[in-house]
Amino acid sequence: MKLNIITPLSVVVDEDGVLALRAEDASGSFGILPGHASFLTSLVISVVSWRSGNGTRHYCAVRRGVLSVTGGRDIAIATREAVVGDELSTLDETVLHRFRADLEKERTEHVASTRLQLNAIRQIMRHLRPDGRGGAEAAFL
Amino acid sequence: MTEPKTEPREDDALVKGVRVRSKRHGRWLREGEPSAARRVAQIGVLGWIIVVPMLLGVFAGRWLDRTFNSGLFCTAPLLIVGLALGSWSAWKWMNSA
Repeated sequence: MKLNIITPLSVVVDEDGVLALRAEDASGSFGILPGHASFLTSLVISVVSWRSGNGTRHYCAVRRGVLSVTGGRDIAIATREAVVGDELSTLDETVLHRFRADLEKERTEHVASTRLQLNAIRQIMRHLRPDGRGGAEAAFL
Repeated sequence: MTEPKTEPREDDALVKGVRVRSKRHGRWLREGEPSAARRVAQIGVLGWIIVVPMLLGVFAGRWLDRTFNSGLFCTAPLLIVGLALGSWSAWKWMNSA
């Protein structure tokens, strides 16, 4: 089976040859095997797990989402947030790591955007200066 | 402009959900599927939880009736009370198990 897990910003998992998949919706946990009837459900905050072609297990924490099975061999999960891990016992740490990294990124982006904004304001102020040197200076910059 | 948060929240629903599931998985790995005998024992306990208060009610009622010489006046209500009590505690037990 083909498995696709996507978030609004990225494709988290794109894998072929999945043997079996487990997920969880409001009615509880369920499994999907090849040849499953076409199916659509909304997942709860939970862990999706699947077995790859080489027999290894993978886990993915999802923050809700929509799971669809089409043609008995295409599984697609669209979710707000997904964190992949190979070990269920350490997945919570992986999730926390991801949160930390996201915060760090947000902070640097915040700094960069503030810097950009200040630069823009400085440029505008230079243009608006009454002595008319602004144009030349801006062109020089 | 809002100040960015400094630490990720430990009690985030996603983290908690992952922890619950990994704990369940760990318990399943340790204990495995409960055996058939264990399940039968559980069902047996459920039966006794209902029957024992009824029997207690009947015996108490019989004793009271014998002392006051009042026929079935106490036995029947105490039997019903025992049944109600047993059903209620069975319901509680079922939800907790």
